[in-house]
Order: sequence, then C-alpha cells, then structure tokens
Amino acid sequence: MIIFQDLGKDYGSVRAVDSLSLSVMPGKVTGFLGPNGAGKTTTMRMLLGLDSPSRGSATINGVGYAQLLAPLRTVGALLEPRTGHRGQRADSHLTGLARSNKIPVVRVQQVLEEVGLGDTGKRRIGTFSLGMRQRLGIAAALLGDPEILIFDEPVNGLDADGVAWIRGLMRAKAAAGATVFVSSHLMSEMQSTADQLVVIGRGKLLAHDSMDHVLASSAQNSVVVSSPHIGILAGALEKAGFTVAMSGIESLQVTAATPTLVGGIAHELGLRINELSLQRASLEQAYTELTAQSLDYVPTGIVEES
Amino acid sequence: MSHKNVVDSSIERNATLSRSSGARPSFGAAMFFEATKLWAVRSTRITLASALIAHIGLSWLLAFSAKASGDNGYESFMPAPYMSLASLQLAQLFVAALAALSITSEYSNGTIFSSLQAVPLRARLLGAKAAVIGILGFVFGLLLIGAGTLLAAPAAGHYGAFGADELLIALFGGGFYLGALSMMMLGVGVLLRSTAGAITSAFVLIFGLPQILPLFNIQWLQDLAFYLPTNAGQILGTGQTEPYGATVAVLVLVLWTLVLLGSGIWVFKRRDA
Repeated sequence: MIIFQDLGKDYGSVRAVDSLSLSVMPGKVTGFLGPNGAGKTTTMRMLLGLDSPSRGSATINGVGYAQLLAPLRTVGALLEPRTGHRGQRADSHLTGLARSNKIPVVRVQQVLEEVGLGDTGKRRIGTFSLGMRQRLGIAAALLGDPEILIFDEPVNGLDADGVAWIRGLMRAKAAAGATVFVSSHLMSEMQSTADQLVVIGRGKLLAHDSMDHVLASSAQNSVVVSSPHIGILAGALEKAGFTVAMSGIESLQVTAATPTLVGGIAHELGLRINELSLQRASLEQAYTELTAQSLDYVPTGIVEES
Repeated sequence: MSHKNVVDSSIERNATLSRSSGARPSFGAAMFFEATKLWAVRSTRITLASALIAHIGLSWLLAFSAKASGDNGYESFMPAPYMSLASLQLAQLFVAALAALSITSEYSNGTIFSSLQAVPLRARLLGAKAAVIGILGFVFGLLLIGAGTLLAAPAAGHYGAFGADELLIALFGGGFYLGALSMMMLGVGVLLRSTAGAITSAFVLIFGLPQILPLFNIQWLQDLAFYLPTNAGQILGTGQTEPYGATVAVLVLVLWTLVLLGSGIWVFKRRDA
C-alpha cells in the first residue's frame, strides 16, 4: 500500500506539491490525473525516493522507498521512457537490474516476452523506437514481479495495439492483487482502466474517489428524451426547473436530471415517449469540471499581484 | 498476437517467484550491477583498447628514443618499467574519461533513474560504482605498465635495463595511481553531472595545474605542485624519495580520492536525482 502523508515539495517559491494526503489501495488501478505541471511526476519521484520531500512523507508498505530491502521485488516503476544506455543491449540492461536485486536472471527473457520484445533482447537500446523503449521500461518494472506498479504516462509512444495491451496488463495485475498507480493526461484512457481516481491541480488534491462516484457526481450527467409532443414537454421541464436544450427534431437534452424525474413529468402530462436515456458524463467532462474548480485555488501571491 | 494470453501466463508465473523469499541484495550485488553496466557498453571496451594502444605505442617510442640518444652519447638511461610509467601521461586521460563517463552518461541518458530505483541507497550505489571503477583502474594500470614494459625493454636494450624491484614498484605504483585517479574522476563526474565539464576538469588536474603552479614565484604554490595527484603517482611509481617517499605518496593519493569522491557522495546523497 502506498501512503502519502501531508506530502509537499517546493522549488524555490513555487509550491509544486501541496499537503497531499491519501492512500493507494491494492487490488485496484488508481488513476492519477492532473493537467501538465500539476505535480504528478514530482509526486511519483518523491514516492520513489528520487526527490526528497520538502514536507511530509510518501511511504510504501510503511517505509520510505530507500528502506525497501529489495526495491525492484516490491515496486516496479516506469518513470522515464528514455532509460538505459543507447549502446547497451536490452537484455543486458535488464540483467544488470536483476543482479542488483538478486532476481533470477531467467526473468529477463520472461519479461521481454511478456512485453512483446522477446526476440529483440540482443539489440542495442539505441536502435529501439519510442514505443519499444516504453515496452522495455515496462519490462524493467515487471522484472521483480512486484506487488506495486507505478507508471508515469505509460501509453506515451505506444500504438493502439500497445495501448490496449497495457490497459489489459494493468487490469490483470490489479485483479491479481497488485497496487497499480498510474498517471495520465489521457482522460479517456483512464475511464476504461482505473477503478479509483486521484485528481490533483496546482499540487493540491482535488478529488480522491471511485471512478463511479466521480462520474455520477458530475453536473454533466443528462437525460435525452424524445417525444412527438416535444414543445409541451420542454415547457413542463423548464417549469420544473430543469435546463433543456433541443438535441434533435423531436428530442431534448435535460441537464442534471435522471430518467425517473423526466419520465415522471411526461407521465403526469400523459405524453408519449419514444426515447428516454441517461447520458453519462465522460471522465473528460467530469475532469474539466474538477480542474476548472481548481482555478479557484489561485496562489495568493498571484492574486495580490493582479 | 494475443495480449491476453501473455498477461495470463504472467499471472501464473507469480507463483514461481516468491516476493518475500530470496536473499537481501548486498553491496556485492550492487557492484555486480555496476560491473554489468560498465562492461556491457561498447564504448568502455573501445576506450580501454585505445588506452592500451596509445600506452604501448608511447612506451615503445620512449624506449626507442632512449636507445637512439644513448647510442649518440647522451645520458638516457631509464629502467624500462619507468618508461612505461611515464607513458601513463597519455593513457590516464582515457581512464579518467571512462571513470567520469560512468556517471555522467547515466545523467545524460536517464539511466540514473533506473539505477536509483534498483539501488536507492545513494552511498551504496556510488560506493559500488567507485569500487568497480577503482578495481578496474588498478588492474588496467597493472596491465598497461606490464604491456608497456614488455615493448619498451627490447626496444631500449641496455639503456632500459631493470630489476624485479623496479618492475614491481612501477606495476603497483601505476596501478594504485590509476585506481585512485579513476575514483577521483568519478567524484568529479558526480559533482558536475556533465561529461564535458568532468573531462575539462581532468585536463586541468592532470596537465594544467602541474604546469601552472611552478610558474608562480611563490614557494608554497611551487611546493603544492608536488602534492598534485599526477606528481604523487610519478613519485610512487618510480620509487623516488624526494621530496617525499612512497608512504606520503600513497597518503596524498588517498587524500585526493577521499576529498573528491567523498564530496561527490556527500552531494549525491543530498541532491534530487
């Protein structure tokens, strides 16, 4: 389990990460979302002991990363897609990592096959495409068969096939009990991958909830209703306080409503209904709402200046 | 190609690699890791091969020149192992560059992140690298002095005559010097994180300061030149007793190493990667 406790990081006067407190649970894929510069990578770097926090702590199974006995057997992380010396062979890069953590060297070929690089182990890393280097980074993360996986923007550089593959990999690892903590700026990708969501903006935690709750709480959830008597229905809905918009010749989009409420109103008026459906907000919409709110968290320094 | 099958088979394998079992990685494991990284890269072998060629070439040239001068009546006697030691002037640059590159290249290609993920204890990571680089420098120093002597001795003839003690002094003096220099340059590489900066520093330390300091008309600055690593290595590898002997020479080299590598480790422990 990963626990952030009041974690903070300053770069000079810039507060990159501000009092982040949350736990990332095993058995789930936790998506870590935020706009560019929100502090996602800095948070992950502190979690891996690469950067030291200005305040608070980030722990893995109760200890800091550097205190783990054999870190690669506990945590697999993909941080930088460009890792490994360009002149070094892919299998030798992984062999070195295996030796550092007393991982059986037979794992090298196993993970290369697992990520689809089975027959490229003898090639130099410099000859790899961006997508192949990304897969090599994932192979390195899987090397010690860790119970915790930390991926920073794992789909970068992957083609559609690769994106589907890594989604399947994360789902399968979480189903097998692993803790999967993955950052992304691709909201649509998270929607089909993550169970839990952590959203940050300007270094602050904006939301930490299940995917279902985040989507359900969005004001963008709406009902589409179509009826031959659309004008009468629109008037009644507006009277009831809903915001409506024409979405077709005989259909309406009712914002922030449920099918039960809209259906009830139509029933009272005895109107024929041809279609009544809930339009779920996409994560993209829910995320835009959340981060738009984060603009309220303008650092006081800037407010004073303006 | 079915990704699903690949993922499924990996889950089955979880049983074969137990998470809790297995030995705790030791300092030796970290050294093994560093040695793998160093040796796996082609440029390491090319650099060492270039150093060897440059070294035996220069050793032979010094021997040839000694014989030519001697035959013409000039005083040119020098034991062949010391000719080989003098030739380190050139080869040491390759070794210094290799040592600095072993860390600066990790910064330039991002490998430092995976290294720190594998060995997060900073002093252990850098200590293991220093041990590997230091041993490599020492062993390579033995090889260079030996190979240089082997070529210089026949070329110099009786102008390069030597005994076992002179060979041993040059071998171990040269080895110790190159081992210490490698660790110093690793320290500089960590401090600067830049290949160009580290190699420039190597030039200043190896060639610049020994030339510049004696130019000052200030006694203590001129004396200071004796305590530069290059001069200490020269004294150690040729068995000189003036201005100081082997014990002081070893201490001087150890002190330089402690200061440069030590400050590298100190900074490395405190700096964000």
